[in-house]
Amino acid sequence: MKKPEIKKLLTDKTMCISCHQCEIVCSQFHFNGEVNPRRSRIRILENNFIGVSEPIVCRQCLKPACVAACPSGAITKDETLGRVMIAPHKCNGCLECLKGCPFHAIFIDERTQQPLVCDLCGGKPMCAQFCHIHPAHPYAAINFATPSEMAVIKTQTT
Amino acid sequence: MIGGYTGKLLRIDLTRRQTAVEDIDLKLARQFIGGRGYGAKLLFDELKPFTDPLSPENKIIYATGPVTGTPVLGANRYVVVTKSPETGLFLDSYSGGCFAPEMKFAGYDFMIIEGKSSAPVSLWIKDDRIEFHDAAHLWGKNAWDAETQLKKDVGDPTARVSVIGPAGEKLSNLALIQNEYYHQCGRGGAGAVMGSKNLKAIVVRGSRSIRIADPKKVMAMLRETIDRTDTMKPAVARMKYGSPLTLDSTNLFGILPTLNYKYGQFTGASQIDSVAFRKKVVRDTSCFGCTIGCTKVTRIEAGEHAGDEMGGPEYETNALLGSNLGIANMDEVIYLNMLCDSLGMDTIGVGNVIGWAIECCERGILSDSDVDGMDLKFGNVPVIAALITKIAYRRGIGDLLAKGVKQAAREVGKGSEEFAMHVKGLEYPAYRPGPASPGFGLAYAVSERGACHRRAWPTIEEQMLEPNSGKGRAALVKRLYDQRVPWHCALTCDFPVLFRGAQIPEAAQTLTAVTGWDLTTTDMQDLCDRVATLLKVFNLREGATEVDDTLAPRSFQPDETGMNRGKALTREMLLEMRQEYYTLRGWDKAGVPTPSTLHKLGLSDLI
Repeated sequence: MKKPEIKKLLTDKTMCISCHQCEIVCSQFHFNGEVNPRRSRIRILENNFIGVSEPIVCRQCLKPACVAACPSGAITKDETLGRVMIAPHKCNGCLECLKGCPFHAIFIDERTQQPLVCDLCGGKPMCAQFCHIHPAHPYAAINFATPSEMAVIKTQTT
Repeated sequence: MIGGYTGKLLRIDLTRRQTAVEDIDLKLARQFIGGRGYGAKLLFDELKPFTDPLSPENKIIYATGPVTGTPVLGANRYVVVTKSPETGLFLDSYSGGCFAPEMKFAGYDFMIIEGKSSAPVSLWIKDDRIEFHDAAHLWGKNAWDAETQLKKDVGDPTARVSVIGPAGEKLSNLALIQNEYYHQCGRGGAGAVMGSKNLKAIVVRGSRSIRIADPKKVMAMLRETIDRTDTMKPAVARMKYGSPLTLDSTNLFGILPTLNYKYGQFTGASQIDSVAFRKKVVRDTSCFGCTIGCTKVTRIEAGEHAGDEMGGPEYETNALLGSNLGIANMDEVIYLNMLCDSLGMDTIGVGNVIGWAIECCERGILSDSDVDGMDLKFGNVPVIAALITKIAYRRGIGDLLAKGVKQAAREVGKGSEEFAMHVKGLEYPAYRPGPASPGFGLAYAVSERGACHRRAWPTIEEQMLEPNSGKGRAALVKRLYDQRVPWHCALTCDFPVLFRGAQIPEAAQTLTAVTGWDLTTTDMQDLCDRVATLLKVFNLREGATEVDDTLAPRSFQPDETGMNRGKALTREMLLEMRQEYYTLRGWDKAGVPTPSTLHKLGLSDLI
C-alpha cells in the first residue's frame, strides 16, 4: 500500500520577495522571542543586485543524507511529521551534516556554532504562516502542504 | 535591559583609526527614542555651531531605533544624521534595505563617524571585530561595482554594505549613500560628507540577537498589521505598483513637476505613470521584514540599453527625470536612474538641477559655451545622460551643477534664482507647491532639512480641504508630520505605516511592546514636538531664521495653464500658514521655540 502523503514546506523561489520575514519569525519562535536570522532554520539566499531570492529549508528527504553523514547518530528521522531531528546531547558539533546535505538546508547557529535544521515548529511552521502572498503573485513562496495539495493551490491560483 | 535596543554606540575616529564602544544613554533614549530623534540629539550635543560640513570636525551618525530589526512591519531603516553640505543645516537621510537590521545584529544602535582618514578607507564591522581596510582599489569605482567588490573582499556574500559612488568622492552636494544597490540615503549630500572623510564604505555583518520586551504582543501585532494591510486598497495597490502609483494622483491634482516646475501636469504622463511603470517590472522585491514589497526590479525594453535591469525607479525619479525634464519614456527614465544610482547621486536633486540648467539655456542665461557646447534641451535624453556623468565627475558644466541648484543659481545669477527650485538649498522633490497644493508649500517651507516630501505628505488629504486656500493646512501639515515622527524615531519605514492608516496611538503600542516602557499617546505627541523643536533649534543655532522657511520665487507665480490658471499660492498665504504652524508648535512669530515650550518638552538646556 502506498504511504499517505505528508505535509512539507514546499518553496517556490519565483514567489519570494526577499522580505526575510520567515527568518525573523523562525528565530523568534525557537529562541524565546529573539530576532536573529543567523539562528534561523530557514534562510533566504539572495542576490540583491539582480533582485532574486530563494528560501532554503529542509526538504524532508525520504532517505536523508544528513542522517547518514552524522558520525554520532545525533540525527534521526521523525516518521510522523517527516522531519529530521538533531539531538543536542548527542551532537558533537562536527558539522558533517552541513556538508552532507545536498540542498545546503542545514545551517549554523552563529551564536552557538551548532547545526540547525527545520523542525516544522512542531507541526505548524511559522514561516509558512507569515509568508505573505504578494498581490503580483498567485501564491506564497513558502507553503506547508502535501505535494497534491500544492498542485491544487497552483491550478486554482494560476 | 530595555527591549529592542542593543544598548551600544560605536564611535569611529577615522583620523586616529580608533574605535570605542559606548553605552547609550537610556534617559535620553526614553526622551528621543532613536533614529531621527536620538540622532539629532547626539549631533546637537557633539557638533560645534558653524562647523564646516565637509571638514573633519563634521560627524556622520548612523542611527537605528529600538524597533529596527524586530518583527514590526517595515522595521528596516537607518537614518544618516549629519550637517548637510548642501544646506549647511540639519540633515537626516533615510534608507531601507537590510543594512540597518544588520547594524543591530552586529550589536550597535548607533555609529558615530568622526575625523578624516588620510587615505581612502572602508570599515569592516563583524560583531566586536572592527577593521579599517585600505580602499584605494575602490576609490573611483561606481557604487554598484564597489559594493560587489567589498563583499568579495570580506569573503561574505551576506555582508551588508553602505557605500558612496564617484559623486561622493568628488564632494558633490547631490551625492548619496547607498546600500543593497538600490536603497539610498538620497538627500542633502550625505555622500559628500562621507567622501570628505575619505570613507568609501561601511561593511557590516552581525550574528547577535535583538531581544524585545513582549514578543507575544509584537507577534500578535505583526499578524494583525499584515492582515489589516491586506484589506486596505491603497496598500494593495502600493504593493503592486510601488511608489510610482503616486504619479497618477499628482498629475491628476496638477502637482506633478513638469519642465522645471513650470507646470503641474504633463502631457506625456501616461508614458511614465503606474501602468507604464508596471509593464517594465520583472520582479517584486522587498526590504527586510516588510511584506509590502514596493521595491521593483525593472527591465529596459527597447533601445540601446534593452535588457538592462535595475531596482527602481521610484515615483520621485519618474517625475524628476521624467516629466520635469520633458521625458515621456519609461525606458529612458530607467536608464537615467541607473546612471544616477551607479554614480551615487540623488535622482531628485539631479533632475531638479538639470531642469534649471535647461531653462537657463532656453532663456539665454547659460550660453552654448557655458554648457560645453551641448544641445541641452528638455527631452534630449543622450545629452541629459552625458550631463549626468559630467555632474558626477564634476567635468565642465557638471562642476557647477554638482553644487546643487541653490549654489549654482547664486553663481550664475541673472535672475536664475527665480526658478531655482529649492528650500534652504535642498532641491524640491516631486510635488509642485502652488495653487493646487498650498499644503505642500507649507510642508516644504517648514521642513528642517529643506524641501522634503517625507516630513508631511498632504497629497491626498489636502484634496478634502478648500482649494486654492491656506485654510486648515497648518493643522494638516502638523498632523501628518507628527504621524511619522514616532516611526522615524522607532525606526521603521513610513509606507506600511501610512497605508494601514497607523496613527500615533499605534506607534505608542508598538514602542511599548518592543521596549517595555509604558509609552502613552501623550508621550508620543510630546516626542513629535520635542523632535521638531530640537531640529528647529539646531537650525537656529546655525543661523537659519524664519526667512529661510520659504519657497522658491516661482512657486508664488500664478499658474499659466491648467485648472488653476491665473491663481497663485501667494507669499501672504504662505506667511499666514507658517504663522499658524509655528503657533501650533509653541514657537513665537519668528519661529523660535518659546521658553515655556522648551520647558514643557524638557529641552530648557538647549537655548
